[in-house]
Amino acid sequence: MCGQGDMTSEKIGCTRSDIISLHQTKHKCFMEEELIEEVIEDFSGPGPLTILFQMVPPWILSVFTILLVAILFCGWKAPRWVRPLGSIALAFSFIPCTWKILIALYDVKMAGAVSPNAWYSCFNISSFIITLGMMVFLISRIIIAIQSTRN
Amino acid sequence: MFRFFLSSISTFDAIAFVIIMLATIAAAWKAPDRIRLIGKLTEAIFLTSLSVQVLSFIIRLPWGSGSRIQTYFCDDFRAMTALVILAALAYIINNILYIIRTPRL
Repeated sequence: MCGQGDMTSEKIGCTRSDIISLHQTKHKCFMEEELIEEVIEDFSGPGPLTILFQMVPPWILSVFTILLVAILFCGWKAPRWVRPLGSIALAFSFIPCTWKILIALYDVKMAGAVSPNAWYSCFNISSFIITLGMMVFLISRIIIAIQSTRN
Repeated sequence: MFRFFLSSISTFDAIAFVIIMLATIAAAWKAPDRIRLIGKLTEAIFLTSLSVQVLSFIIRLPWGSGSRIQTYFCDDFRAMTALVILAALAYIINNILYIIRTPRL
């Protein structure tokens, strides 16, 4: 009896055992690729969105959301307040991140040194907070530009 | 920690920003059209003070070595971060007073 696999193997000119071993090798390679991807994920650290929603404190995200909503609302009802609200967002973004750096410097003073990982996480979160502030500031400036072209 | 923050502020920055805060409150009370001007003044003083601190750090850099550089770095960086926090607070208060004292249209 000859199955469909045997007919296929005859057509391509190799035996059934060759195809099975090829399939097993391919599966093994696929498994290894998955394993490598998992290992890379373990070592590459958290992604940008993980940092944004898990490491940045929720009250900071809340303040930026409130400021963004206020800017959008003021763009509709109170155009003169858009510029100061954007400036507040930018100035506010510098406070938590510099405070974190100050805490790290306090640790340096108390303990004599801080591990590179602590510095890394400190600057990582700080840069995200400043980026958020700059994005809100940019949105406020875009709204001002749109309004000035209308009038 | 708060005491550490207060001890990090340099004397010039403390005096300058107390004067700016008082000027902002006075302007909001008597001359609301000057609040923006005082905001610009805050920016100018902040940038000047920050650049002076960076310059003083750079000037002292070649003479330090090893742990001395770390000490310079920590002291100067402390003063810089305290200055940034102080200026940001002054700027936020300035903008809030501007919003309060300016008509919305």
